[in-house]
Amino acid sequence: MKSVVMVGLTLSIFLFSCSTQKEQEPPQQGKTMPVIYVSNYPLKYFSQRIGSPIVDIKFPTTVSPDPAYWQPTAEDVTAMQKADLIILNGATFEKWLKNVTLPSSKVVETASGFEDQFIPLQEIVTHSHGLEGEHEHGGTAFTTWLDMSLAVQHAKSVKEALIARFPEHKGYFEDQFIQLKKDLRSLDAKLETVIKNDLTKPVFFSHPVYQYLEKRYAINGKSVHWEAEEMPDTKMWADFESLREHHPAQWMIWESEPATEILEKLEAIGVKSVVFNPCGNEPEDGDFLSVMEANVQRLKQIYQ
Amino acid sequence: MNAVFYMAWQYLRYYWIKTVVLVSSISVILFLPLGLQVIVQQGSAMLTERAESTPLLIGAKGSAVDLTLSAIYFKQPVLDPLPNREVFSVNQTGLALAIPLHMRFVAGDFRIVGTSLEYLQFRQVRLGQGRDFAILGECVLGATASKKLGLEPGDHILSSPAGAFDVAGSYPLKMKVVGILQDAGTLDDEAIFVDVKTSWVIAGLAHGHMDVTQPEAESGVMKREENNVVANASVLSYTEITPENINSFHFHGNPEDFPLDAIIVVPRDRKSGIVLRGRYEEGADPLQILVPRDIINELLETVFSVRDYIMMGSVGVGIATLATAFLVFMLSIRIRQREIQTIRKIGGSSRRLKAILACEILLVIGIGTIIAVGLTLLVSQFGMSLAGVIFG
Repeated sequence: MKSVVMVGLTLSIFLFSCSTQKEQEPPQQGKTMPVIYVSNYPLKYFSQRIGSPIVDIKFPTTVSPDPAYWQPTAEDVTAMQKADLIILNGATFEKWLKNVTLPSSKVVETASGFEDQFIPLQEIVTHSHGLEGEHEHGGTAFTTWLDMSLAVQHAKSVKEALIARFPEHKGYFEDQFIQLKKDLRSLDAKLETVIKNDLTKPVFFSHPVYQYLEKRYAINGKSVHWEAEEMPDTKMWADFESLREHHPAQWMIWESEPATEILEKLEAIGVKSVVFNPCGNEPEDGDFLSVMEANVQRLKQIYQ
Repeated sequence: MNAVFYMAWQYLRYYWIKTVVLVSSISVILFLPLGLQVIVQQGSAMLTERAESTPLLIGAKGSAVDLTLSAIYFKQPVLDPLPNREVFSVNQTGLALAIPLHMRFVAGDFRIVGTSLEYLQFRQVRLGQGRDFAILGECVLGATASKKLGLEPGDHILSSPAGAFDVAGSYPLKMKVVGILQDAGTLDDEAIFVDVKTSWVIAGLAHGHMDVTQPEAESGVMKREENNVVANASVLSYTEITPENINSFHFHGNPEDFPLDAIIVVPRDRKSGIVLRGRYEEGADPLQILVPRDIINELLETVFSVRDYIMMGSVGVGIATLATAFLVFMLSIRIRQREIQTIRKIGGSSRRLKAILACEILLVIGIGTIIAVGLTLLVSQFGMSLAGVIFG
């Protein structure tokens, strides 16, 4: 009798351990996993936070220095056509979208819920020719995720798209989204706290990509069109000087670390530099949150 | 019995002209109703099958038959276009999937169907070679179109100009063939499928040209203002979309306003379809929503009525033909009195004489019937292509 109880107990422990092991294991990566394509790194991060390890997230634009100017090949598009879901930023981020064919039933534009908050681009050149009327090749500012309240809306769209496509995992996606939302709200609060120390302080942006950051946190900024690795020419410096007359900023916010000679020349005229990485592409180290946390820390130099 | 058959056969052979006329008359009069029945049945089956597999159609108000024929059978659209935004509004309801159709252009004898990837999935047409269209300017050919044009993936096809007098209209677009569809046995075999955006490029609603803000385009620039460049007509649109010039392609205006000829609507379920129909039927928009099956059934009722009239006519002609044949046989007995007397003199009984005459009649009717059945079988074999010719 004792041996029967022992065998039964051993069997029960074995079966329990097997079932526990199975519950803790994430779904195996491979062909059976649903494939989700995303068009920029913030969306990859949001999708990973909400959907991993249930979905396999593909970010094909990593090969391009800037995902906003990625040019997909026919092979890229064919692979995207076969995906379970294609999550896009919207707000004219995907310039390539007008030139490709994607199945509309799989495409989700995560910015479509806040079109009324899009910021039209200032520098638009219209043209006309032949019998046609005037037309433009412009669009809207697209780094929408730099406004953390809009980043939450992007993440919410990702969650809703995943639930619509995989309703059996609704509870999991909801829980994951709550955590992500909490992190983004915290980041939003930190940015607001840092910047509101001196809302009047003027700053320069090296590139017109900070429109949503500027609007959300009421930054007193003006943009130039400088590249971090390329020394501005004489005219650009002259334009910059005339801009400074009306906008006496002592800081310039860069997308990436500028070349030493630019840095030195700026410092010589009393303009310091600080990097705020928009994080449109996958960072070499860390993730979206850590990059944004680092951005907040660097902004403290300006607004302390 | 062999002797009776031999005598009858020899008689028919000797008077072969009379035999041919009689056999032809009988075979034609039998074939007409039979063949017509087969053609109408097969044609209506083809029409009904395609209509039944298309749940709903949205198009501009006007002739429901025209809308159905153009959307389902790729006939030249005659109704006003409807705006592309209807595709978004149907999809946004979550009640149905909307598949756009733009069919204003042709390449040779084959219609260019601008649509979405969902169309081929909806029609369950599979790729035989290559891949789906992925980049602007790419196309996928139906099996028949591919065979007749002799094109394979990697080849190019030029869209036909909209018209000789369309001076401000479309430029022919050189499209790259990237896939060939499997033979589906439907009209999809005879179409050229492109993304609806590509068909808008052909329509001149989107185009690519040299960047007029760059100094290289100076020769085509008439005036430069602060935020506007006025170019002359020498800035020509590209007629082929290549990796080098694809970024210069842009749309004029809001793509939501761009024209479509019809939208195929695939409701999520029956209830969704009814809700959607209600919305369009009550709406003030100049649009109509219709069930293609109902339209085709109405059309077929007309076809069946015509068939019935032809059948009635055939029955009348048949009776007249049989009466004439009977008369021919009666007269031939009178003419053959000398021949009949000779048979009797050499010992032929009346019974045998009657058997010979009956055998002649049976042979004529039998051969006529066999020919009629053979013709009907041929029609049933090639009826689909014949129906295709008849129903266009």
